[in-house]
Amino acid sequence: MDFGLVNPAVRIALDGLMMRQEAIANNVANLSTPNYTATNIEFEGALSAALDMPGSGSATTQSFVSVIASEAPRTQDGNNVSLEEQTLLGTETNLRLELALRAAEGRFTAMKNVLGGS
Amino acid sequence: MLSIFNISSTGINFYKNSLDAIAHNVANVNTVRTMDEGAVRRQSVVGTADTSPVPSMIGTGGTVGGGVSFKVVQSSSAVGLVTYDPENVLANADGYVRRPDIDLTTEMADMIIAQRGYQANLAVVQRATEAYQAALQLGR
Repeated sequence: MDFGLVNPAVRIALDGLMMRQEAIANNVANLSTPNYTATNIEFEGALSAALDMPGSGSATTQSFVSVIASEAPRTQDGNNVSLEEQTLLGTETNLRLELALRAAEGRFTAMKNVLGGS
Repeated sequence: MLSIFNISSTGINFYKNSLDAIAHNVANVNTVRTMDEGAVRRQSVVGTADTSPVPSMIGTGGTVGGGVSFKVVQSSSAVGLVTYDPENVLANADGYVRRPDIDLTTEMADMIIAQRGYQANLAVVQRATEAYQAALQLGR
């Protein structure tokens, strides 16, 4: 039985943000890899477009998430990972994750109250 | 799950091996060899992006890569720098020895890069830990 404890949009946001952290981890691991192209995860645009339309509740995360190759300028060895950008993006993503987790938390608290927890 | 740790560990491992190779190069910067033996060769660690799918948290089959894999290559020739040093016990009949073609300045620069790369990967691990810890508080 699905209690609908987590809003579908929040769930997709959590999944997308976690994947973005994975993409950042992969970019930082390849900081010195010749000819490596940095990637990023994009899902906010597709998600907000879907939320404007009715009946988006059953959508899966896969249909929202896309991997974008960075077009940043390359260094001599053909690598285009910018450590500054990745660090900033990582910090921002973590804060967004915390925000999404708080949004998810609200439903749990409400459910606990209904179930008679003090 | 927890694939960020796997990805970052490949990065940390890569930079650790880079530091090992640099240590080898610096330790051998003055190693003299005979003309027949060939000079000590410089080692460097070359990374390649690992595209093998990582079991992602949400089971999409790894849309991002799995970090970095690497191989150690000999990046200077065994010819080395042929030096005239007739005093040296290793010198051949004409008085020549082979010194390694290793530049200390390059090694120091590479060392700083490797050190910073190592730290950057550790910072990612730190951030992922915070995120996972926040997620573990859900529903408490």
